[in-house]
Amino acid sequence: MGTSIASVLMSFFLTACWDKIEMNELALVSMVGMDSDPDTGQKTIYYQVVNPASSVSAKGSPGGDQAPVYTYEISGPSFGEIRSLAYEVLPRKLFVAHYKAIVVSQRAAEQGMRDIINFIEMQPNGRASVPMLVADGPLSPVMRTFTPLERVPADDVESRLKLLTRESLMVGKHIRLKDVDERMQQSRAVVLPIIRERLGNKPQDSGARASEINASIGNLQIEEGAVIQNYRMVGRLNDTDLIWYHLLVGDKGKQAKQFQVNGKRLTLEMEQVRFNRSATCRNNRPLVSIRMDLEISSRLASDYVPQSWNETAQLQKQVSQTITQELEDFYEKTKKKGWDLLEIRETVRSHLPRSGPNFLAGGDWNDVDVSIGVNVQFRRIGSIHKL
Amino acid sequence: MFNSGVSGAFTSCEEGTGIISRFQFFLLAVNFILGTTLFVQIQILIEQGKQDAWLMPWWAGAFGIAASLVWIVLHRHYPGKSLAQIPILALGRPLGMAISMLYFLHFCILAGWVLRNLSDFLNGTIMPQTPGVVFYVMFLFVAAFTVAQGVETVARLNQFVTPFLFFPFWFVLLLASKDWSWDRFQPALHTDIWGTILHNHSFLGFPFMETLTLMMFFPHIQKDGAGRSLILGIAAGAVSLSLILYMLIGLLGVERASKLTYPVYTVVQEVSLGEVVENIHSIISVVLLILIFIKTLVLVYGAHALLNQVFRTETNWPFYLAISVLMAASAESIYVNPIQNNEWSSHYTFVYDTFFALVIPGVLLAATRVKNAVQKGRKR
Repeated sequence: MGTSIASVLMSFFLTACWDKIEMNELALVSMVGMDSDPDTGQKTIYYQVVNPASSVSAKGSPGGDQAPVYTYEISGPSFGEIRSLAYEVLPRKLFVAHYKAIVVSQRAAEQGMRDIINFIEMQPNGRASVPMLVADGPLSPVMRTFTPLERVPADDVESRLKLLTRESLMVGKHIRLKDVDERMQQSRAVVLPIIRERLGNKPQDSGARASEINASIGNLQIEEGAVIQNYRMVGRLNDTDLIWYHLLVGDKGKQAKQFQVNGKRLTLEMEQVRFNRSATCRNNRPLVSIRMDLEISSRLASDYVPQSWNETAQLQKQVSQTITQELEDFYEKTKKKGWDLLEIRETVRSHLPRSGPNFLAGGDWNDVDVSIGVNVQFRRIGSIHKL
Repeated sequence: MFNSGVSGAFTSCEEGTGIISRFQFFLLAVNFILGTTLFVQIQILIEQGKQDAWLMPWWAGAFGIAASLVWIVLHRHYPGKSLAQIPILALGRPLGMAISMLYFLHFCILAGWVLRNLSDFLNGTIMPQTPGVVFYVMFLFVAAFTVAQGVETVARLNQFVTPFLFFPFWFVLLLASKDWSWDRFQPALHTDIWGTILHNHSFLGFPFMETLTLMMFFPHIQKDGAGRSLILGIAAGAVSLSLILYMLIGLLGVERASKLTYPVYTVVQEVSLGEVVENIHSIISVVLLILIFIKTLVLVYGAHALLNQVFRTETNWPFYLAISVLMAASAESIYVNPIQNNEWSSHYTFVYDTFFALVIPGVLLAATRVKNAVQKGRKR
């Protein structure tokens, strides 16, 4: 008897009436845009909320002419206050736990992203494991662009980033908010992808977007990289620099690139298979050495394929020289700009804990010697026959 | 004469004569140590110990074992007696009862902390709207119900749930290992870890000296095996904490782990396996909640058994009600906000716990020795 009363009483406790959540009372945020006006300090958040009425299903007319997402733009004096102000325009409870990307406007990134990162990181539902992107120019056009093929822009962006990480060296792995947070606290640098709206007459209506054959017009584009140092965007890397940067920090991804070998142009696909970065002390100066093994393939070559072992060896040597030269040039360039993109400081700090701090405290990391070694191996070929 | 009379009265009114195995007691000790520690201490430990923080539980655990030796020696003098009966036997009824009541209040205050940490966690993560009292009543009701079934039920319940805590917990932590980086430990052993360890004395008190509560189980353990199981339990708890700290540093890095409110929760929240396994942090929430429940359960058992043994009660339910009200009230009022709690623990936890875990047992031990010496002298 006592047991049955107790079990009935216990079942009342399991209802959790205070925190019940109904799916159709939630605004499911798929992408967040954050902006901050440097003059007035006014903050703006763009919430891209999934429209449940437009069923993003595989078959049939997708929910008629309904937009797949709605973008809510809310401004306020601080990001925290915006969470309360949101309900002036939003009829459902904000649900931010499942968003897939954060876009920060360029001016907010240049001004400093510390409060943006802390704001998201400090909330238990903040989800710091999503990629961060920097919008080229103003944020609102980026947040109000429909994408073809993938109807929800957040899915589109997420998928593109994944492909770019895997199939190119243009985007690295460490672009998530948590990586930015950790690296900023360690005074390291991060390079985030830049997203922009392509020029052209942008379809303002998802129906028009869906019926437009030219996918390039008014679509989003991810290119170039924003260098973030000390919570601020300090400059840009173009696509070629991005390749060298990601090689130098050990990102693995395939990348096809055209090289000049023996005066001939040759497109080779390269992939990093081994990467090692260490610091030693030589002549009372720290020496950071970066060693990498690359595998190259002529799978995508349409111009020239080596025909003999000799030619292969020569090709390997020349490609290795070219890449080493490019990497060294890239290092010089970043050094001139004061960007520690090769993580020299961090390497010295962690590998030379006794003597390292003295160097870093006494002068700048420019005094550190850097040696870069590239080993190239020609492994895969598309066709052995002379083209 | 007086001695045997009192002890005879106690054995007659002890609630049941449940026997728990040494392994069950070992598991209780481990889960009691992990309990709230995973919520409250992890972030503080990493903030203080940096990349070498995983060494700190080793030292604190060694201290905990040393402290437990005092209790074990004390218990040797009173085989078959619990913490509630020993003071009365050692110091006589009036003074001994006062000390037993101090322990009762100590248990209620510890339970207050445990429950408050629980409601802070739930309000901060998955249930922001629910008032804390709901959690307290819920936990205390189930705990009191379990305790009413006897000590064997308490031990068996714990033994039953432990595999459901152990395997999911380590499994989800292993799933997170995609983000593992050895660089986060470098430079290894270059922080002033020994200085930090000595500075952070509150870690010795909470959770290690709180294991004193487990002395309430001593009379029930099979073949008087309490001592070794307790020592093994404290050691296993310390090693688990060390492993968890190690994993968190490798997965989150020192910077993030010392900034986040609940690093264990966040690390699992960020697990993402091939777009299929995502947002699995509810697993870790449930594991942490059950661990907290075990700690509450031990404290409720301790408080109730103490009252039962001191006052030789006949009806039980008014005492469960009273204990629940006391514990819920102390949870509601134990601190205003976590800042106050942190300040308190960094200044006073060590002193506070030392008083209950070392000073009083030390006095009891001394009193027993003196009494034995006097009695021997009389016999001659």
